Amino acid sequence: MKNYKNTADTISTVGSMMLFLLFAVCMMMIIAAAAGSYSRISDNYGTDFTALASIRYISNKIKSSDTVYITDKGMILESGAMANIIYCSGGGLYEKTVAVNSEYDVSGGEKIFDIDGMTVDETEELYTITVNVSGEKHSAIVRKGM
Amino acid sequence: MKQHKQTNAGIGVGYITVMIIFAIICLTIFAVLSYRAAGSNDALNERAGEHLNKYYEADASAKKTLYELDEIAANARNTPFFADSFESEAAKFDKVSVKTEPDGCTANFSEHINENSFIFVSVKFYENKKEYKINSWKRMSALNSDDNNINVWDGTF
Amino acid sequence: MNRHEKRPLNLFFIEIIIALLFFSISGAVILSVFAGADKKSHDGEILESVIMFSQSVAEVYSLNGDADEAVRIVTEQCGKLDESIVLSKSEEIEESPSGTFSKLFLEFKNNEKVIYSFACAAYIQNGGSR
Repeated sequence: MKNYKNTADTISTVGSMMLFLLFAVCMMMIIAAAAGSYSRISDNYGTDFTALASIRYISNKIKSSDTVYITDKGMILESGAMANIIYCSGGGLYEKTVAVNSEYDVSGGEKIFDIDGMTVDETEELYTITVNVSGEKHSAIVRKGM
Repeated sequence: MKQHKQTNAGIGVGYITVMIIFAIICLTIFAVLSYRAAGSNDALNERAGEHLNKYYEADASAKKTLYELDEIAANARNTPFFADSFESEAAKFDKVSVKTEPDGCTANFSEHINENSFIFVSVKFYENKKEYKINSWKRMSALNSDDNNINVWDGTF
Repeated sequence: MNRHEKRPLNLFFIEIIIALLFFSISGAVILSVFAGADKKSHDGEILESVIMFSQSVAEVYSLNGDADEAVRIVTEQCGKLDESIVLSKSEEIEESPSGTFSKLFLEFKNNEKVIYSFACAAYIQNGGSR
């Protein structure tokens, strides 16, 4: 009888411990799901901000410059006596300010945004700016000369 | 008896409550942070949208001025004195300044986007040609203009 | 004596039931906050693409003064908008012997709700200057 009672006690103890464990695992999974959801929303905010800000930055620079040259390495924007070189390298968008007619090399610039890539396509009257942020492509068109 | 009670308890009373409270605190923190991140994203986009609207409002206003100036130039070409006629008609716009040149007139004007920036436009209208030439249609920072220069001590008394 | 021995286990189950009840109520509130945040984030993403689309349309429209053509070019080069977005456009046109000044109004609706309104303009000279 006592042996039976001991077995019953052991089963109920193990059962309650299993229930507790199940409970703990469920809680951990729920917290992980919540953290994942927060991380996704936060990443989405970061991606949106970087894409919008970088495209607006480049288009504002184009609109405020006198002459724009598109090269395979980036873009050169001349305004008065100064020229801005905007290029993408090693996962970042960089900007460098130099004097007009000096050597335009794409190194030693200051990082402005974390982006994976940037392309600027030129047609007769338009520039199409495309930035690649976290694998997503965002594009905008800017008119030449205005 | 004492020993029996300990084995029967298995998991003590209160552990589940502590765990639940911890989980709820964690979830609440993540929920609030998520909501704030989404709210910030929304606010950022709204501000970007507002800014874009202001820019294109100023751009539209500048284009309207260009349209009116072009009409004035077209009328001035029908008079014997293009430059005088254009200048006197363009003077009706407060924001437009006209510079007379041998082959026509250059009109300069600006449209405010916000307190920090404006669009500067410089257009040349020709006396003998219908087409105009846009010399400049640039977005400029008001902080760069001479009116807003900060008086920095130059080191002399 | 027998009843006294069973008390801790009973207490454990009662605690689990109360904790679950409390958790389900709090969970429902927290879940609704998460759902709201997720919706806001998705709306933000849509608004961001709408803003970029508007800017591109304005730039192309200033070139040709043709709203349909501007939307077509932007869709071709920058990609389509989200399928839930309904774009309505209207134009105000002023004509003179020297050229045409037109103003384009764009309205973007998502589920019958206006999410962004935008206006831009174009001046196309009859001779060809833009």
